[in-house]
Amino acid sequence: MYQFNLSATKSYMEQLPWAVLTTLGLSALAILLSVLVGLVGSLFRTSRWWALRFLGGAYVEVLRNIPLLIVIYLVYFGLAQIGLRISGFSSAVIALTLNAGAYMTEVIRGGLAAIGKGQFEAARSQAMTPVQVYRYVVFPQVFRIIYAPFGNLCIGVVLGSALASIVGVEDVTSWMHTVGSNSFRYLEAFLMAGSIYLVMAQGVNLLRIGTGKYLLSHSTSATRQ
Amino acid sequence: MKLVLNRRGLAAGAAALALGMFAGGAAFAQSAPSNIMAEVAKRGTIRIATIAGNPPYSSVSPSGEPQGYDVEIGKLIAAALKVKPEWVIVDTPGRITALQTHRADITLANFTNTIERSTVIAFTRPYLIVGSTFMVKKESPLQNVEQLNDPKYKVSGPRGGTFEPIAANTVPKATVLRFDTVQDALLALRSGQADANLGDSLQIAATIEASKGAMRALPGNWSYEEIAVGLPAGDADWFRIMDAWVRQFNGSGDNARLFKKIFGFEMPPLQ
Repeated sequence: MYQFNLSATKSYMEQLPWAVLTTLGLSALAILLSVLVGLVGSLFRTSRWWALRFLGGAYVEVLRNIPLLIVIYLVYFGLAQIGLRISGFSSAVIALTLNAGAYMTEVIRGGLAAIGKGQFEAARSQAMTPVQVYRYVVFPQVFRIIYAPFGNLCIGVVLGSALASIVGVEDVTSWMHTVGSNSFRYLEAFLMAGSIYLVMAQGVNLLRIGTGKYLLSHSTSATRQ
Repeated sequence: MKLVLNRRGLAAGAAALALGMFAGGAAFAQSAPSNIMAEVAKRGTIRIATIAGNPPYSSVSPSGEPQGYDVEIGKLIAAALKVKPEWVIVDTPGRITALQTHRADITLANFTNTIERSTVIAFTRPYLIVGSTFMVKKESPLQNVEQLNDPKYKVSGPRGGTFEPIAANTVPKATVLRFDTVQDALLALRSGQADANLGDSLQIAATIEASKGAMRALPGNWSYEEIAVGLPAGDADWFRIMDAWVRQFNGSGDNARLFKKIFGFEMPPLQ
């Protein structure tokens, strides 16, 4: 009969902080990079030029319709086969960024679509350059609109990072497998890893809410200038 | 009751869910059957845990059918018990969990009897003795295991098998890459992500044979492993039946014939 015993995982606690840091580092990098990809992608998607719109659209449709697992395999094993040896960690960052970037593109594009044409015209009439239009008028508003879906995306990236363990990244999922296979305490290992992901995902979400509050209060004064 | 969705409500819900998971786990653990043979006969099937992506021992064909040496053994066991085999595909560490949680009646998956594992599950006598060897690509500069013991070299193997302690003993300085399946670990060598692959000696012999000279083994054998049928601990009757089956499978020569058919070379002696 199975005896539930959490203390059996005690001897593996030493490796846990590193595993948590790996997962958090991986997620943070992928979130930051996917915001950049999303910004560029959304500008492509809403561009005046057909070729850029096509490129942006193709990127979103291709990456949204391929499982993240396969993207990771492609970057790690596929590129290595043609001589490009990318480490497991970097492969996971690239794959997560490509995947989340596609969703981010759509989220930001949705935000941009919600800004009325009149706003652009009004800003231009004030002799603002296109960069100024986006910096002071468009993006501060887009930011408010996408604030909630962006949070979902961040959580998605943290949870998606669990797949990095398949290419040998020593993250929380990898730690879970190690604890399970060495102590034979799988139920405990699964529950612990699950709880850790819950805390991490909520942590990232709280960070987003905090940053959002800070930025929103500042962007308000910026737009009022 | 009216469901109020506020922050406090959500937190309470999450806590209740977590508690439910723990309670569910405990209830599940207590439903262990006491007599596996009776359950198998009543069900009409024997649930056999095996791993995918581990040819020629066990793999899943494109049509979804399990195939390989261990799968053929499973079919023979089912036939001997006059029941049908029901396959439970697990990963390397899942071979033990499946037995612990009674999701499977036996595990047939290139499964080494170790003392550590024997403390939580049971094993029959072995039906195969294997070792561990390192495999490299033909053009690799590596000629022996001593050269491989260097941080600049990466060694791949499956997580949760006997690979990890063997790698730690033989090439402690090399960089170890751990994968979920044997196939991924092999893919790491083939794709160039790893410089060497540590694995089951017979499987590596079969892989080298199939590679037509693209792969070679580094000299030396680094383990003694008894491959056996895994069983849930605590059912002496089930052990008695399965162990007798393995004894007769070995003694009759059926095992050696099946091995040769699948691997393409003679089975090493059981000792």
